[in-house]
This record gives sequence, C-alpha cells and structure tokens, in this order.
Amino acid sequence: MMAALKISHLTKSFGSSIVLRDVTLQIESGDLVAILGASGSGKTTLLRLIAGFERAESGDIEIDREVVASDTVFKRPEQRGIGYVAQEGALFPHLSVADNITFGLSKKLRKSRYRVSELLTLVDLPVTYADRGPQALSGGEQQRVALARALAPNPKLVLLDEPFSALDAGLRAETREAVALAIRAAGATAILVTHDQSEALSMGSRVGVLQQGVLTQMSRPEDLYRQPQSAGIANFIGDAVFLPGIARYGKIDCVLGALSASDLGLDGPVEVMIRPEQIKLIDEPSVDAAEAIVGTVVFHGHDAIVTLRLQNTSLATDITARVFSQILPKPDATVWLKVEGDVVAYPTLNATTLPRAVSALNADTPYYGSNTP
Amino acid sequence: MVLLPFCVTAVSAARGGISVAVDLLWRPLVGELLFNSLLLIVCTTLCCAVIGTTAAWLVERTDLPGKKFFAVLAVIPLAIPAFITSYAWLSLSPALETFWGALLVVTMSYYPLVYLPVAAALREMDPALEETARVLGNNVTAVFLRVVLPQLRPALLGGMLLVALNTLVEFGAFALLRFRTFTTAIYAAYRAGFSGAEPALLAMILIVLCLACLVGEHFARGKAQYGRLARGVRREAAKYELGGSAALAFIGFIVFAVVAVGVPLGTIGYWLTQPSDPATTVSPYSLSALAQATWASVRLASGGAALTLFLALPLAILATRYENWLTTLLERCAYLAQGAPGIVVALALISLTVHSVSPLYQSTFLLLVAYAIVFLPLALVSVRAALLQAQKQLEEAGRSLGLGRLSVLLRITLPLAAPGLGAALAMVFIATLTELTATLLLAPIGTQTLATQIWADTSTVAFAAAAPFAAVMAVLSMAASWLLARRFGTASVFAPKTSAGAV
Repeated sequence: MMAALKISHLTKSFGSSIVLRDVTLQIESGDLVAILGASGSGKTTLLRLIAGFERAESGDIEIDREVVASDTVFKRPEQRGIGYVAQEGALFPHLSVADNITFGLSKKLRKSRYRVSELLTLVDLPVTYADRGPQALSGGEQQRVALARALAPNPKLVLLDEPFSALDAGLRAETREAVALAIRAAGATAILVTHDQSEALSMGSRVGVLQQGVLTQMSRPEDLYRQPQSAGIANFIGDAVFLPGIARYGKIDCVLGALSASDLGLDGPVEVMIRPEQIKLIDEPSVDAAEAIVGTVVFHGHDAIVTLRLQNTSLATDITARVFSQILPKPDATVWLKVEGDVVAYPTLNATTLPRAVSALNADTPYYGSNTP
Repeated sequence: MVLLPFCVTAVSAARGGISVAVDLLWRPLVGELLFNSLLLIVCTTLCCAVIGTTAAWLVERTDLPGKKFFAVLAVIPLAIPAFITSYAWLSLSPALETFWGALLVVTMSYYPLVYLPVAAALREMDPALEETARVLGNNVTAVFLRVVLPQLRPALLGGMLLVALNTLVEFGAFALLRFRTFTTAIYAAYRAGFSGAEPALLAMILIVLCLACLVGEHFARGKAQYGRLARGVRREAAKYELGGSAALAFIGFIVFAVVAVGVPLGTIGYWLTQPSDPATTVSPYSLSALAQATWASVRLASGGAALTLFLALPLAILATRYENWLTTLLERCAYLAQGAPGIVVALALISLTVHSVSPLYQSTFLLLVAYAIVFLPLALVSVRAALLQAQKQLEEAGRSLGLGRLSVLLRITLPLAAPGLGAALAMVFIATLTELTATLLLAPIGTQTLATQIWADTSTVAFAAAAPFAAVMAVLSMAASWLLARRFGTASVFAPKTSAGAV
C-alpha cells in the first residue's frame, strides 16, 4: 500500500493561539480515515491546510507522493487535485445537478455530461435528478451530489468536512451509509472530519483523535473504543465508568471484583475504565458480584441507562450501566453487578482526584475485598 | 391618490385627440429624446455596473488597505444630489455640456445603487462555494466568472435597473448640463406654455419607460433570486491577497474617490472661498437669504416627511396585518409611484389645481402632497420592514392578555416599530431636502429653498452664489445620512432606499 496522504510535523496558529501542534499522520491509498475532534480542536483547520485554503507555519504535506506544502513549496487549491465536500454541500445554486457534477471537468467533458449518470448511480440517486436544480433536493441528496461532484475529476484524495452535521438523525444515518459505500466503490482515498463519535467509529477504517490541536491517537475504530490510550480519550470516544483499583498479578482489583485487563503492564494504583455496556445486572447474589441498589432507569428504546449505588463500599460516586431494554430493573431494587470482557487501566496520575477511594484502596480494607482471590 | 398623476397625465394627453397626439409624438424631437435617453441609460447602467461591482469586490473580498474607509466613501454620493454633482463638474469646465459630461455626472451619482446590493450579496454568499470551485481546479478569475458572477446576477440586475430608473427621472443634473432628455423636454414644454397635451404626452412616454424599469426590477429581484441552499452558520468569506496589485487597486480607489466625492465637495469648498468672483454673482448672497432658504428647506422636508409617514403607516399596517387581495393591490399601487417622476407628479397636480381647486395652486400643502406621492414608496418599504419587526406572536400574546386591537397597536406594535419608523422619517426627510423638480414647479411664490436657490444661481452661471446653499445642503444631507447609518446600521438604511429608488 502506498501513502495517498502524508503529513509531517504540521503546525498552524491563528494569532497567538496554536490550532495544530506537530501533527503527523499517514493515510494509505483507498482508506477512509475519520478525524474526530470537539469543536475548536483544529480538525477543520487540518482539512483546510490539506486543501490549500490556509498555509501552515511549519510541516510538510504530501499528496500522492507529491509535496504540496512545505517551507519552500505551496500549491494553490486548484493545483492539488483533491475533492472537497463542504459542511452543507455548497452546491452551486445557479447550476443544475448535472452541471454541478461536471463543474470540475474540462469544457468538452462538461458538454458531453461525462459520467453524470454513472456518478449519480454511484451515490445512489436516480439518474433523472440530473436536470433538477439543487433547490429541489433534500439536504441528504445535496450532500450526495456534492460527493459526486468531488469524485467526478477522479481526485487523489477526497476531503469531507462534517458533511452530515446539518442533516437530521434519520437522514444522517442513511446518507452516511450511501457516502461510505460510494467512496469505497470509487476506490477513493478519503479523510472525514467530524465531532460525532458514532459517525467516526462507523465510517472510518481508522480513526484519529484530535484534542486541542494534538493528534493523540490513531487506531482502528474498535481498538480506539476498547483500548483508548488515555482516560481523556476514553471519555471522549464514549461513555465510561472510572473506578479506582490496584493492578497486581495481571489482574485489577476494584469494587467490582478482580477484573482482567489486556496489555496490563503495570502494578500499583490504577484507574480502571469500564464501558457501561460491560456491566451486567444479575438478580441473585454470586461470589464475584458486587451488590448495588438501582437508582434511576432511563429508557432509550434500544437500551436503557441504569444508575447504581454500590453497597458495602465507601465509594461515593454512582456508576452507570447500559442494559438490554427487554429486561429492566425496578428503581430501588437490589441487584448484583458483574463485569464482562477486558477493562483498561491507567496509572493513577493524581491521587487527590479520588482521595477517599484511593486511601481506602491503599489501606486494603475489606469494603470491596470480598472478591479478592 | 398615487394613481392621480397617472390619470391626470393620461387625460391631458388624450385631450388633444389622437391625431394631435400622433403629430406631437411623431417628431424628430421625440426620436432625439428617445435616442439620448436610451443611449445615456445604457452607458450609465453599464458604467455603474462595472464600477459598483469592482468596488464592492475590492472592499468585500480582498485585503485592500483602508477598505473600511473606502466602504464609507463609496456610499457618500447617495447623500449628494445629482444636480449638485452636476453643478460641481460644470463649474470646473463648461465643456462638460455634452453626452460625456452627463454620463460622468450620473455615473458618479448613481453607482452606489449597484455597489450596495452587490456588496450585500457578496457578504451573504457562502464562502464554501468559492472554495469548492477552487478545489475543482479553477483559479480566482475562473471562480469569479463561473461562480461569483452568476450568484450576483439578481443583485446586479436589480441595481442596474434602479440606475436606469433614476437616470430616466433625473432632471436637475441634465438641465444644468443642457443635455436633453424627457424630463428636461417636459419642463421646457411646460415653461413654453404649450397646450397641456405636449408635456403630458412626453410624460406618458416617460411613465411607460419607468414602469418598464420597475417591472424589470421586480422580476430581477423576485424570480432570479437564488435561495441560499445552506442555512447554518457560516464562516466569514476568505479575503484574497492582492499582493502586488494592492498598490494599483489602492491608487485606483483614491482616484475614483476623488472623482466621485472629492470633486463635488471640493468644488463647493472652492467656490465658498470666492464670494466676490466678478463673473459669478447675480444676486449678492447674504447670510439672511441663506438662513431663510435653509429654514424653508428644513420646514418643507419635515412637513413632507411627516405627511408621507402619516400616509404610509396605515397602508403598511393594512398590508402587513390584514393581508388580502385588496390591501395587496393598495400596496402595489403605492409602489407604482416610483414610475411617476417628480416632474410628472408636479405637472399633474398643477393642471388639476389650476383648473378645479385654484386656492390650492402654489400652496405649501400641494407641495407637501407632491412630496408624499413621490416618496411614498420609499417610506412604505421601511415602514413595512419596521412593522414586520414586531412579530405577530407578540401581538397575539397581547390579545390573549386582554388588549383590544387599538391598544395592541399602541402598546406593542408601534413601540417595537418605532426605530424603523424613525429611519423612514429620516430617509424621507433627506430625500425631500434634496428634491429639486417638484419643489421648483410647486413652491409657493416667494418661497426659496436651498434646492431652488442652487438651481436659480447655477442656471445663470453664478457658481459662487450657489456654493453656500450647496454646502449647507450637502452638510445637512450627509449629516442626516450619517446619523441614520450610525443609528440603524448601513444595511437597514441604504437597502430600503435602494429598493425603493430615490427620485
């Protein structure tokens, strides 16, 4: 596989605030990479630097093994051979769908409506849409046309700038799927920036996390969700329960018992990260299950979020579990908790954040110790 | 009332009978007038389009140094009436009494009518459109031609038609430059005391041309409007770096500013310092004459503004709150007044009062009525906008709290609309202050306003004598515009004005 995009040590600031800090990443040809970041994380700036709308202070950008931006080189946007899908599509309102799609082609190809039908089919739109005005399309359809327009000149790289954020929920899922399929079918290399975790995890073959201008982790989506490199990333990617624990003999002791962790390379006090859906509720006591009282139950349809107050512990915080919605516990009921699957442990950085729990741990008191082997 | 001028003109035109009408119309003079007017309109409109669009693009889309200053400078000519610009240029060189002089003067007076809507459209445009076009392989020029210009079309066309309309109805500037158009010919025919039929017939042609412009503008605005597809919050448009051409653009803008604003104001300033210039002074100018004329102008303009607003308010309330075919028709009729130039309104009122209600002839009230008819559309546009500020839900909330219709109007609608009504009042005030044609024809005997004084002095080549009056008018008008702009923001002040078409 060869690199379709190679970014090294890219830094950009606006005035005194640094927006991107030493970003280095590489995208293989044919990949769809999602860059996930909160607003203000610099994700849109990264895209604009790749497109050539902005200039970086330092760092190199290579597209298809050709340097497009460095200390000495700067190619203008029109010379970079990339496709760009803006937040709300940005279809030209004065041109028909077909004229929008062929906009980036030569005059001759424009006249012959080169590949219009093919591209419309690719983005799963009826061929009859070619003569419509963009006003006659829904938001999702506009985005698909915008993608077709970006793909028409066979770009080396397609940039997608939060292309689904303006769509409502139902349309968003459907458009996402159509866009991901079209990009894969076209064999294009694409980079998608978004603030939506589920969008990044579901669309990207790899996902990069951008936090305050720093690319903190880049992994396959499932690795990112299950093995986040820091507590901050874990929290950002999805809901997480954090508990104090002690790592020893390859296991982690905490109030929920002795848990197994993958790649546990440390001993001593740790912070354990458990995804709420890993916590199972059982009706009867069991040797390695912790007793808890049900607080609130919030029903979401496909699942429910249950808050739980642990018994027999000095730990003041409630923990949450995501449960299958078919069998729901009643509030104030007593249940027993069990953790399924591997958890992740982070070294406890700041003991003052959880003073009581940590001191309880260090004293090795029996509040949670009933399950210790 | 608005339709009155149309009817009266049509009746007087028809009085002579068809054969007389054909004879009068089928003359070389009419042909010459048509040719003059149309050629001038086409040239002016094109010049204004090029200048207005270039200036707007430079100010809105580039890193031109000092562009905030230029943005203000570019709209100043709106506050200087065309006949003052014309006076300024003419006093520089009498050689400007040609087509080219006329072209220069009207272009410099009316290009803001293109600049303002185009600049607004450029600000409104989604920057993602241009970026997308860049990425698809177009350079800056290609992007402008293929994406920006098509988007500007409605604003540009609308602005150009307003320029055409204003050029059609302009009287003072052309009369001073001795350039013959319909308005000056109508005036001449009226002064020569011909039968009422000749000016009326010429006026009919003028009305038809004006209405054609209005209809064109309506379509340019309404039909060709490209709704923005995106509705979210947008980034500010990227500014193009001018690089080496920045200096060129800057110098160009300076030269342009000197021509558009510097010459009129500078010339007035120059003549102010030459009060005893021998070749100029007919009536020795005195401070008391100046004070009297100023007072007369302010008095008439206030009265005109008050009467216009008094008429516009109920009309706008009907049109916005009780919308049905009748009120819509009423409102449309009021807008038609844009198609009746000041000179036509004035002549119609004269022929009406001379024949039937002679005590009104040359009364102040009649002049105010003329102002009200001419400026009703201008007031209506902003009163309407002001009333729409007061949302219907608020009124409904008032009704639900037990208020009657009248109390809702007095306690909710009017207080909310007050700033907009103030703006409308100020706009009509400025327009009336700088109005020449109707004032000239209808002013009561012995009443001299700033406009008529400038007119009297300038048409006898007494440039120095006219200067103090011109200076006072320019200062008053610009000060009022500045206050208006500061208080209500440039967009809200000038946008309605451009869409109503000053006369």
